[in-house]
Amino acid sequence: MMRIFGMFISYAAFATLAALAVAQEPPKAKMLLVGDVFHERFEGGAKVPVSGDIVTGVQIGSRGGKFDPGQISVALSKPSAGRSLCLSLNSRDGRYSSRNLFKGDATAGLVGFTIKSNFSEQISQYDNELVAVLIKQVDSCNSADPGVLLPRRFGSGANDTDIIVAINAPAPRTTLSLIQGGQEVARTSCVEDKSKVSMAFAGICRLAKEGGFAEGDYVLEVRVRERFEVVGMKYPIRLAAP
Amino acid sequence: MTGPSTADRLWARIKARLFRINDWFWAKPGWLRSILIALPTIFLYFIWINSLPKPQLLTMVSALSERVEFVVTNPAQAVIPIENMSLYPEPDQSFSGCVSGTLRPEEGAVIAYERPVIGEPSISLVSGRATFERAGRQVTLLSEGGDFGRKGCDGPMTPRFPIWGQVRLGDEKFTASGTGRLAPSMLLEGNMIVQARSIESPLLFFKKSTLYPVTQINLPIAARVEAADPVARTSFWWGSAYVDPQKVALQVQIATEAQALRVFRPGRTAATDADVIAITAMTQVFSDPNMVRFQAFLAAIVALLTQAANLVGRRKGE
Repeated sequence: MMRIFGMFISYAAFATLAALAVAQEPPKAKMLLVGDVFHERFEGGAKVPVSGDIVTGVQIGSRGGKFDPGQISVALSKPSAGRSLCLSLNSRDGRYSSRNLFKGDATAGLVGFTIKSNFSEQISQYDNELVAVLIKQVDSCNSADPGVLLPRRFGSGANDTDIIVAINAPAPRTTLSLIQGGQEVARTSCVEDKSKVSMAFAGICRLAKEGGFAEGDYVLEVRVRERFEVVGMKYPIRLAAP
Repeated sequence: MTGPSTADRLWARIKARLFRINDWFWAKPGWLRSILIALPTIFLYFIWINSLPKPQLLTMVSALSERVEFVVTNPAQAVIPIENMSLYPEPDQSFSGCVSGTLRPEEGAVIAYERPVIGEPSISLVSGRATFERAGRQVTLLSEGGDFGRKGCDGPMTPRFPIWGQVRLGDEKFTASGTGRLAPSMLLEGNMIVQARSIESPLLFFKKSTLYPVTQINLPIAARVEAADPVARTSFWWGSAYVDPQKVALQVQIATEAQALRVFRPGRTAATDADVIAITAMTQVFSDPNMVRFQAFLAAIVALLTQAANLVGRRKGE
């Protein structure tokens, strides 16, 4: 009886581990922090930094569960290999924010970030959907150059296709387009979830295409209907296979 | 000669048992007697408190806010007269410049009234559909295009804007958006008076229901106030927003019968959600005039019974 029970437990443990391995194969290559200091802040009070960009997060696919700063990865293609990346993390309530430059020697494929946060415990309290992750290919996080957006990826085994964009703009007034070679590939309006405190971002926009998006360089166009005018902004974005 | 009747025999038996319980009770030391009385009484009291029906709340909010929006639940009550305002974007030439007419939002549409701290008010169709009628012509507006403002318009405008539906007052996102624009969204100040309706019952001591004060709360700056369960039947609000020339932003006067309200504010984390304003069972017990009256009656009965038990015990001891 005990042997059967033991076999059952072993099988369950093996199946769980195998499923996890397939769903989120950890990236082997690592992006390392440039410099010694991980720049971040966690507000204990009501002081909230003003977020300065419309796009606060871009990722392909989504996951439930709690945010794990050790599980942030990006898919690199050849044009991005060896380039420095600026990683910005913003909690939706505006209390946590970090912006740091990373560099690695990975040539292509899925690459993870080595995060040395002093607030790992605090940011692990947030659900995944409450932290926006923005990865930009730029030489400096303070550069005026808009750089190229690289969406966050969740493991190489995951079958994710939709591009999910967190925006710092009124969602009902915002529309997104993905453009390649002057042609609009996908367009979406944004939705607002006001069930939580929303400071750094409130709107979520999901760009979808049957069969997924092909690798390559695109332009993400954001149009916000402000009061009595329309404001448009364009962001270069690069999609790569994990 | 006939013997005692069945009822007499039963009564004699009950009396004998009561005297036996009485003897047993009074034979115990004083501290145990107190516990034997207190524990079941407290237990029954809490069962009674928790079985009480929830009181109906009436909450009134008076606020200065840059923004108030509501979901239209009854289109007939949400017709908005437009006087001397410009429509953006203009559907065609006949709606250019300053226009006056009637805005009829459809059910489910979201209407926002906004006015920056200093500036002119505006009306926006945030989502859903609405029809705007002007001088016999009408146009259907979608959320992509439906902002009424005062750009280039003089003269009198709509004296007050009606509110009837599910309300969201203010927005915690008071900082500039990524476009660099500061949308009018901030709740500058507000006062909330919560009243409740007393319990009404056919029992003698529950008189006709009245409103009684529960609490008064100052709303935190840059908060967002809405019903905790926005789709509940009781979660609709009514009232008005208007421009007071002596004050900044919009003066908002609204009321609701929602059972609980939520207050979202900067500094509150997204992980722990919002502050909830609701009436607790204890507040109801100590503030409801009918409840207080009933409890006073109960206390008198208990005191009388205790005295009666005392008397019975003494006689038995004699």
